[in-house]
Amino acid sequence: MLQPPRLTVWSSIDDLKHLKSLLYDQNADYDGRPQALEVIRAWSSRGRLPHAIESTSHLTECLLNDTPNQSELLIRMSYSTAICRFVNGLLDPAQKSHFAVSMYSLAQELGLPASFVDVRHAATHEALPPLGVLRTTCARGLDWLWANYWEKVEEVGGVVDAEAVGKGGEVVDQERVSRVQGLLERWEALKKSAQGRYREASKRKEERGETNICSELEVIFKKSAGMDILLEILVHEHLLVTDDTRSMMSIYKTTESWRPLIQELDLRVEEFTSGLFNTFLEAMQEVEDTKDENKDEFAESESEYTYQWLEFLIGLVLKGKLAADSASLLDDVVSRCILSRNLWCLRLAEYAIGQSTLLETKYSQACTMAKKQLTATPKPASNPTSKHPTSNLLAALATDKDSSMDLDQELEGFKTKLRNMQVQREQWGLNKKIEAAENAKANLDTSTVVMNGNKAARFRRVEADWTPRPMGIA
Amino acid sequence: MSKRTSDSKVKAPLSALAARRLRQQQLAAQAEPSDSNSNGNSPAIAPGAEATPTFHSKDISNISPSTPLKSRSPSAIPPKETIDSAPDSDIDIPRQISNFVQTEDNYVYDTQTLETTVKLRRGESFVIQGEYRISVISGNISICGAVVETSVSLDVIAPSTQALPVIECAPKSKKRKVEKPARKDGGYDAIFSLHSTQSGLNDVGRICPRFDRIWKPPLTSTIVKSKGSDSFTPILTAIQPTPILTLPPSWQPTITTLSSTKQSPKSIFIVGGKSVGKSTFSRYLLNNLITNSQQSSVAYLDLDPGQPSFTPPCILSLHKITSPILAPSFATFGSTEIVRQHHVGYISPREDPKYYLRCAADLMREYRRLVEQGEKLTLIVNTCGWIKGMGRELLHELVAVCEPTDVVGLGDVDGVFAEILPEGKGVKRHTLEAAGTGNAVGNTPGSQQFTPADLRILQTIAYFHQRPKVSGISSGSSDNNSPSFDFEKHLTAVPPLIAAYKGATKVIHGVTILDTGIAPDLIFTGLNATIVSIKLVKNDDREHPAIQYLENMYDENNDVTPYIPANQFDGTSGLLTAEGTVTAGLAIIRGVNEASGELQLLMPIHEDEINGYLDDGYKILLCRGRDEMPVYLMWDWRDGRAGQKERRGTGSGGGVDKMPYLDFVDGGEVTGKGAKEWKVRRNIMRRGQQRR
Repeated sequence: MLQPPRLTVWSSIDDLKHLKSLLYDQNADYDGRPQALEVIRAWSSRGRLPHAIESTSHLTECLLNDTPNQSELLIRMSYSTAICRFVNGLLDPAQKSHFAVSMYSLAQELGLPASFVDVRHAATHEALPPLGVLRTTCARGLDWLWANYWEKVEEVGGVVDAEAVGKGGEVVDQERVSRVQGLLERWEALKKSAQGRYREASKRKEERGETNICSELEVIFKKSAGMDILLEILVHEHLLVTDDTRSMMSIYKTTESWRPLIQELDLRVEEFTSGLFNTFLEAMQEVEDTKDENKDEFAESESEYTYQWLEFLIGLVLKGKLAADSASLLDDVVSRCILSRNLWCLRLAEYAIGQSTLLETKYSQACTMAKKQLTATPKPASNPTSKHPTSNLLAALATDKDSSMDLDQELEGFKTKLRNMQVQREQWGLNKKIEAAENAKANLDTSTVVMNGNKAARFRRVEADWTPRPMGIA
Repeated sequence: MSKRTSDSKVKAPLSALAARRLRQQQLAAQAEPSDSNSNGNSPAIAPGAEATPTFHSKDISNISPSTPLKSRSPSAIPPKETIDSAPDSDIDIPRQISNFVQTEDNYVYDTQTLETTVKLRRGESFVIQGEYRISVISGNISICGAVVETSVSLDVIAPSTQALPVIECAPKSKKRKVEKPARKDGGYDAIFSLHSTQSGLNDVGRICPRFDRIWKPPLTSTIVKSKGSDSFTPILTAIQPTPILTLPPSWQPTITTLSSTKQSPKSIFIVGGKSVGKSTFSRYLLNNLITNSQQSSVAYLDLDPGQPSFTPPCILSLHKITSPILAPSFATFGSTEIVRQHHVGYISPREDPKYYLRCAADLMREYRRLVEQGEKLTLIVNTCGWIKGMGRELLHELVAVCEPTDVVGLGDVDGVFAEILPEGKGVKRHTLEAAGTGNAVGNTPGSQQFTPADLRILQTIAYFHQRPKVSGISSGSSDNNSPSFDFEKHLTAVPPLIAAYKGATKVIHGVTILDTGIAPDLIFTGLNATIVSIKLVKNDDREHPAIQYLENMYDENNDVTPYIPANQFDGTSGLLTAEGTVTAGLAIIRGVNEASGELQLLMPIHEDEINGYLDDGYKILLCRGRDEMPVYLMWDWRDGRAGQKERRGTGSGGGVDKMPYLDFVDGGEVTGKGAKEWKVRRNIMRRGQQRR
């Protein structure tokens, strides 16, 4: 039985890293510490804080409170409390034996200088220490916490699980993962800021930046045995990330902005493109497979987006701009698509076949057969529509009259569905705008709103299919 | 009938070393015949020396000096023992649990009706683990202090989290006409039948595997043959120690006295330290009052937020009870009528004693109102186990609030009575021994496998897995009072309720976090994926501080989160007055959609009920105390960690499945010093210090 996880007060380790920078990176313009203290206060309502975080917040609070207009006694008392709690909280849990061990020995074990114990003792049993001593001790305390706790936070992985394992089962260096993340983020930032810049100088600068990123990525990709996981990060967290509108146009922007990176890495790193294709194909297949029964709009558009990426990549390959030296790449891709029992993959295969006569001769029959097989299985048939001979694909497949009728209808069904979805999405976009306008109007008229509000103010159960998701994620 | 640990030959208290020596002598005496390694040394061992090799396999070091003598039974020796070759004859003797000899006649299973009929004679006892419905066919039986008469059926839930209830023939009583079974039944004094029931609780292991074993009967050498599909298992003998519920001898007379109807209605106030058996006593008393005296309903005031009897933790409550309670605290939701309850937000009164007292006073006021309306209700007040220091002062205040007619002190209450009770003869005092002392075995400290913290987790998990009851169904039938649970789906797979907190159609009118002031933009950092209480305030209650604050600050502005900073008020009692605030129950905020201003809530309250509150003119506030979220509700253990890695979403900001607020790394993700919370060891001693 697996050991259950622990509850943390932070949502992800990245929050903790962010907190760390707020607490310890100060410059002339910006002091993040008040904000950090707010965050810690919010966290403290969730549960017990780790002692180091609590101590850091207490000591920082005292430090920030140490201003000339405060009463000196008050400042001394707050420092004393913070330091006592810091020392006690560190040493108490270390009392593991049956009888109490002196605090000095515990401090020595933990690497806490004995002077802290002295100050704590004085503050508790003797006269309240003078302000200078307290200030120094507080500053040293913060330094100690930095060295012994906050620095260790950096070593923890980010989004990916600390025990991330690549497809082949190798363990990938956490550090590499975060570096790749960083580089990809830089690329995105670079591309975003480069939009609209047409001056030569800035263009060159952009290119230099691009090249730098690409070379760094090249190094990492080449070194890593587990390139798979890095590819997954690339694909799932950057290439396939969409914004909310999901309009048809945005894919062009995304593909355009990533194209140079892909081409560069293709040239520099062996197996990059084939790995990239693999990752995409898996993504497309996975979405299809897991969401078999309830093909909701979300899943459809996900598959569609992935499909479009693959179309784009195949287009590049066919134009010779990608994987120029790999003769068999497309063959592999197409054959894999045909062998998969996945409608989107088959569409991709058909597209590729349609674009290249070479592929057509090799694979069109196999593709037809695969389609037949797939449509023969009891899947919910799409709306059969009348035959519209609109594309070469249909012509190419019109070999067997009887079966092709079904296949045609199937294909037509897909096309109609796609068109419907596009129309729906546009409509939805329009609707949203209309709704927003209506809401804006409605808000002006308060009395009607209140009346309507009372009628509609309800707790309602989520209607649509609820996919299980972790607590905390809406 | 008591279960005595068969090894306790030693009665006088010993120092740890002397006990150790004695133990070694005993084991040496047993080991000598077969121990070939014996080097002939006498077992007398110099103080402080390590165990000689002769006794290595016995692993004497398992006797820690701090364990009380009672629980040093052979079966308490940890499994290291197994390499021992010498026969330790005490270990495998099965203990008698039920005083019942099964014959073909007195235990009959009917394959048609799936009923088991049991016939008991006076003096016999019958112990069952699991859940069942008992229907008395003739005679009277007693269980957990309740007397069940002929033709009465009751549902019992008996997991091994507590001592198992014992079924016996009811003692003869002048007040009650005992219908003896007919002659032909062979002189049995009581006949009853057992049915399987299905509350859903036996699936609790699907959500929290730690509690799976509470339904598994102990290893036994003989057990009444039961069918596999039965939800219960009678236990005749057991190899493992199995605590059963027996009354300490001093309890029964007091219970009888308290049940008499002279000077009624009585108010009975129960005090005692931790784990002395206050809940056990109150339950016995309660069941006795309901079944064995003229009263048909009893009022129960639960003032222990750490281990409440009928609600999830952190809640104080007043109940009206009309049927006996034969289930542990995590299975009693809905078995009582909750007259009024208050969520105090902490498991101990120590964090906010003022609010605790205000809530207690409000609940007492409610009780008095019921009495004024003509109901003659005996009141039982159960307190928390804090009898030292500030706890004692608190008890003093509570006594002033509750004005009991009788006070029952369990265990070592020296000095407590003197300090908390007013001078004079007004209050009758009863001092009783704690459960688990002497021969009676209730919840002996040594055999308790679940700590109060564990039981709180269980209670919270069970609370959120209740099947919501829609009010309006006739409350007459017993079926609607018996709690029903559904552990099939993990909470992360349950569709939540959507509750808007912004906009004109908002249903959440205020959110607050007790005892902290939080920056408005960080509210949901504090609230997301936490347990909150649902508080109701009447819309037209102009005096209520929360209503006033909401009007002053937010008025008609519906586009801002209606946050009420708790630290601007005089404690919680200054913000959520006990008189003007109703606690409807608890909810989990399982997600926040800040863009649309909606919360996703999970709660065992049906949406019709909570929408009903809106219709009745209540404002709904969500209030975060410090209720602890069990990690098993955040994480579906059946998914396994591996499952979480394989799943990769596509697109939309973050492919790898994130499980916020969870740390899967063994030992903790962060490895620096001070990475754990500050936990104090309470029993640390200085050298030379005598233990009190």
